[in-house]
Amino acid sequence: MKPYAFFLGCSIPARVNHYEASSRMVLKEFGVDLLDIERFSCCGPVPLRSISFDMFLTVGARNLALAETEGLDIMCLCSGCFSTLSDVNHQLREDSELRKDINKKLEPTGLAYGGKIAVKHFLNVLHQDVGVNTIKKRIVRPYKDLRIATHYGCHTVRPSKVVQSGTIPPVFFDELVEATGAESVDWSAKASCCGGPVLGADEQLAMDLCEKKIADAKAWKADFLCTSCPFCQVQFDSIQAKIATDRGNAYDLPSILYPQLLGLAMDMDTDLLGIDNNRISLDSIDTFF
Amino acid sequence: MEPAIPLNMNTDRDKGFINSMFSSIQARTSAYCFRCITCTNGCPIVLNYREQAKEKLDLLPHQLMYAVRLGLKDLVLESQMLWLCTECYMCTEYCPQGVHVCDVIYELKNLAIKERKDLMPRGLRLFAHALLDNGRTAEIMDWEREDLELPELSGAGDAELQELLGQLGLPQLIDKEGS
Repeated sequence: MKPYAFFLGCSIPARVNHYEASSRMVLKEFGVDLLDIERFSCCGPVPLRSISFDMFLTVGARNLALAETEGLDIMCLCSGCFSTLSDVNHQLREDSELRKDINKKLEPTGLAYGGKIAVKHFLNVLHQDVGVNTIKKRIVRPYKDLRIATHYGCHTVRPSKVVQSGTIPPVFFDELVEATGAESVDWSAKASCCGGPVLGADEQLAMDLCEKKIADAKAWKADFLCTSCPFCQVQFDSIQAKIATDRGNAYDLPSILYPQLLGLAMDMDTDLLGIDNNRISLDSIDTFF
Repeated sequence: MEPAIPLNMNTDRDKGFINSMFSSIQARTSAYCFRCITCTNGCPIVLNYREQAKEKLDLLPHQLMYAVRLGLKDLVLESQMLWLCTECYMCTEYCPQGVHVCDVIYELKNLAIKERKDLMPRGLRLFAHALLDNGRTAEIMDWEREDLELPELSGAGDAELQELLGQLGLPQLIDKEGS
């Protein structure tokens, strides 16, 4: 299998390094090779698109062009980066005139994007390239009676025409969670917004959105939330802790990153999976083996 | 209660605005809106504020789309809905007319920043400053990377991004001092 150009973005090395650590570990086990590209930058995320559509396209195109130069498709861990790069890729592949304009703006960098690569999310790589059956075969410590509130969030699944992650409503993440022996519960908020994107604009609003989701997962008797995005993880971990302190509403519903959930079931090193790096302790997971 | 959209619109309408603002094919789809309110019903921000939504957001998503069609530029650009949108794409996904509601909102924000600097929220300004000053949105936690045996990040891409954003005119667009 060809390696993927590994796109890290800003948020993971700043706040959720254990997402990267655990993802690298599980991908290695399944023979998915990653190439780190030093010249990759910030993806040019949604706030940049709010400021200027042209700058959003140009920054995204620069990153796409770097992967294209290596002849590789991109894999993102962050749903935000995935959304940005998928969207830019969609626009530049569909509209060759627009691509020409943006490439003109890229000229000083010595790069140009030809529209030849694909952008995938970590979950898509596990589901499509590795496959649920292969994952099941590698589970040595399956979970028992563990109820997981699987959280797709927004940008792994919407807009569906752009990200092309499969069916609506989506099932791929539920299938990946259930491959570990856990049960993915039918909670209603699994593909709605975590509140992360408005954290900078209005913290109370971000906390409102987050709290509603946690309460919903709790009502569905979930033991853990499970995420695959640094923004969702920060909301469900650090912001949940803040909700407990500031509002006195303690839900005590820990959030585990998917590669941590999978890595534990594959009996990997808990230190390197960053199990202790979560703000809300994951220790209770031991009672479900 | 004051109606959201004034009944006498002759003085407020800007016909050029209707035709000229959209730079993406997606945003041009606002013309297909037939005001079914699906976008507003699916919006998590509207749902969060419930009966206070009108007061907090000024225009709800379907009202935004319609006000764009009417050319009510100031009413549109001054709506808080623009800055509190989480870009979750729920509206866009379920619109029966294929209106890219979220992308229209992005375009409106671009226009607001170009023409009305006073409307730009502080958080967005801080984001732009971080990108220009550091080439990334948040500081790397080096000690944690070391503990987890993760590769060191060289910062080569950050420096190139800073240079590119300078060439593209981001400092001038946000009125950064010294630009």
